Amino acid sequence: MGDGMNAPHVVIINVLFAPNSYGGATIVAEEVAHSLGKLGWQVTAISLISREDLAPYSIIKSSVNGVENFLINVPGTRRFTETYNNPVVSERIAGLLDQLTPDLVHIHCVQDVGAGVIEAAKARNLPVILSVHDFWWICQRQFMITADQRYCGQSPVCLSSCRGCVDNMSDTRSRRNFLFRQASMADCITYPSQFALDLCETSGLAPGSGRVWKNGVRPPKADFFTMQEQRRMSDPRIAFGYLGGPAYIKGWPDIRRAFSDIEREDFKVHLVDGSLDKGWWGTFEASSLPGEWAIHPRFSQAEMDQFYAKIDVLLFMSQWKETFGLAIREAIIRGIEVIQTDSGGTVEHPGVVREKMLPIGSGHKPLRREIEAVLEKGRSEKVPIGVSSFDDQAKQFVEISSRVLRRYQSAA
Amino acid sequence: MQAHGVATALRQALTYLSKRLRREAPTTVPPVKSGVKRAGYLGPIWATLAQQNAFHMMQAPMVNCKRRKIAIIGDLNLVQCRKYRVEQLIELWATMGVDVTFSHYQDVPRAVHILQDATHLMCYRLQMCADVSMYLYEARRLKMPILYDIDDPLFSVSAYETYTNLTVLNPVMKSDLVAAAPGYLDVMNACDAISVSTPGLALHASEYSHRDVFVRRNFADSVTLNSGEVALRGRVDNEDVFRMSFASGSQGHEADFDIIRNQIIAFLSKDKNRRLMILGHFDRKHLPSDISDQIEYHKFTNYDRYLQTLAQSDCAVVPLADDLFNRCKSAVRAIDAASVGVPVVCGNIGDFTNIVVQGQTGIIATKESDWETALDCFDRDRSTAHAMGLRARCALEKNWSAQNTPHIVDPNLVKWVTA
Repeated sequence: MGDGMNAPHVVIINVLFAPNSYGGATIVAEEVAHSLGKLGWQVTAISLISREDLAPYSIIKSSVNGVENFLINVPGTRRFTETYNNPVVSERIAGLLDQLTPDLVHIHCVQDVGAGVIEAAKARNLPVILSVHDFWWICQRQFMITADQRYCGQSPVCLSSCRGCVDNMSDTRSRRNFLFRQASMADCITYPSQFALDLCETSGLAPGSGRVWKNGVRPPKADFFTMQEQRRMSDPRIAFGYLGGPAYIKGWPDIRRAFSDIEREDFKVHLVDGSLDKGWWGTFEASSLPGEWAIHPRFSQAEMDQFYAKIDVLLFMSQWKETFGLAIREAIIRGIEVIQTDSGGTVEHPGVVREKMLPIGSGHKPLRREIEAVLEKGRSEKVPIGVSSFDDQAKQFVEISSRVLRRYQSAA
Repeated sequence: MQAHGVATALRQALTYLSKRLRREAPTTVPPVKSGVKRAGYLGPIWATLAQQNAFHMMQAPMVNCKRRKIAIIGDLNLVQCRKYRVEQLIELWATMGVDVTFSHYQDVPRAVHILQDATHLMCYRLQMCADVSMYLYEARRLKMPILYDIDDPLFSVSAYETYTNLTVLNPVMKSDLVAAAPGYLDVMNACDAISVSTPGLALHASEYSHRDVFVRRNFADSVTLNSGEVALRGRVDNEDVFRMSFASGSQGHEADFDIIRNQIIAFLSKDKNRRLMILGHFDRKHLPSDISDQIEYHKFTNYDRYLQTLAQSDCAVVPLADDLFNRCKSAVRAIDAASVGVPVVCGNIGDFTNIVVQGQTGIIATKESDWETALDCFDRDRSTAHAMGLRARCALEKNWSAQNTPHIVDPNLVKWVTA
């Protein structure tokens, strides 16, 4: 039970949550939840599932690592408006809030949940912190990526320029108006980077109510550097890693082309299949490429050290402006070199060298030069760069929320 | 997705186009089809949660919830039972800040749904079957305390075998009821505690179970009080005719009636202006044809109509055969009558002696001749009968409405839920 400021009870709402973990925002939501638990907070999650064997909009309670998660079962097919405003989901969540009576509601990604949950929480006089993780609030396509898989590049986003990208401008306007109205009710909006904050607020999303709340990462375990050293001792080849999937927007065509032009064989590349169905690299054929290529299975947060111990260089070739870039932080805190594009919020980490950032759309040649330079120079000891952990991020959340909670307490 | 090939790309394009045409939006929630066959509604999701290590709760739901919420899953087919053991709990528990929600046990999706955010499960009048077993299992998975509630000794072979009412019914019905009794006891003993409607039933339940047994009496909820008041206002005074009512909510009450049959016939035979109103089920062969013009039969339609009809009587007779089953009975007939300002003449069986105040709110007949004496008295002095009925109504409002008092709900049950 929440006990005022000492041990608040927070309800976290995210479209997915453990046991259904998928995507960077879900990782952040889960990890911060656990860190808040370590700080004595009581945490309850609400998320969605979609199963044919359960009644539509029924609720099933689950629990992973001590965090209870109410799963709302949404039908397999939903109309467009229901992706951003689903009254039935809002009503279900309102009922849960009535029962759970938390001190605070923390809303993360609510695509398919609908932004109506903010109104539902405010109607119960509950403080709401909204954490934006992507561009869903300002872009109907969520990532500002056009149908032909190019970064849209608007800054700020102007709805009239979205005409060629959406089915129905009237629907798009209704969506934007609804989302902006809901977001304006939040007591505080957090963004993972200054870039994301600036773009969203200049695009009209609740200007002035945002602040940067950087994501943390899971630090390496005590035995990570031993594992890393053992691998390096046993295999002198430079090992590259790539987590992005076979998509243009993640830079895969440039990566493939860059490696195909390399005229040496003394390296290894690990491709992570982050899909739920092993569909990213199931048909991948590496015989025409130099070096040794391997597929690393999708991994959980607890398993990430096994992957990072295998690589010396992370390739982060995103061809769009991302809000954060979790993998970059995970790599640099483990002393792993990063070759990356200049891609929005992904360049706000410590130790960044601006002039080394590859411009978006610069093609495979600059990347090939970077790869060749790494191979030429050989393995060098990179000093791990300190970045915030999820525990640090949770402490910042405590500080943000305590201000909000104080406002409510003084108003009461 | 360049690595997927032409076939995949075409398939994705077709899916996209069909969704566009149907105006369906792309989803971020991956649809799950049951990959495994499991029995029961919850079988597939249990399998998934177990495989994901998401099955067990770390703590009872009361730890996470400031509010208490009781989910009632019950057999709601009997209207009177549903009213007194389920619906009126909403009002009673609300006085203690506890929410109540309910579902018929055969409405499986709803029953499962209401369990998920509840803090306590109450199984009402359930016997063991696959679905009930599933509800109990789910409640245990959710670490919920479970209460079993019952208002008749359906679990008792000894009560059924000596139940007088069953002697007037088809013997097959009796054997079916006896055969079902262990199934009720199975659920009862699978629960953590038991609540019953009368001290008599509590005593009898203790013969069958070591669980704590709490008494939660039936009472006059606001629906009863409001409907009763409307019915009372609609009463038509008829000084020429004296009416007594006999209500029968289910089959077999002819056996109860038989214990006063001779007194009633004698009473009616003395004056043609006396009437017997029979409300509900009754086999007309139980009464002689020579007084048939003094018998008025009324079908049981709904609760409001029942009260309106009851309000037209000058008194209500509530005989009960003296057997184990009836000694467990609650006094709902006295509550119904009091709600419309009608005094009762009842036996000293069941819980009536705890609710009816002798000579003040009704007459408790302790010997056979008391029935006719009481009826004669009421007929002679209608104003006394009327005043007694109004006192019964006042007592009902004051003492037997929705309230957290020990004679309505055992304080230990309140503690069991709210602690």
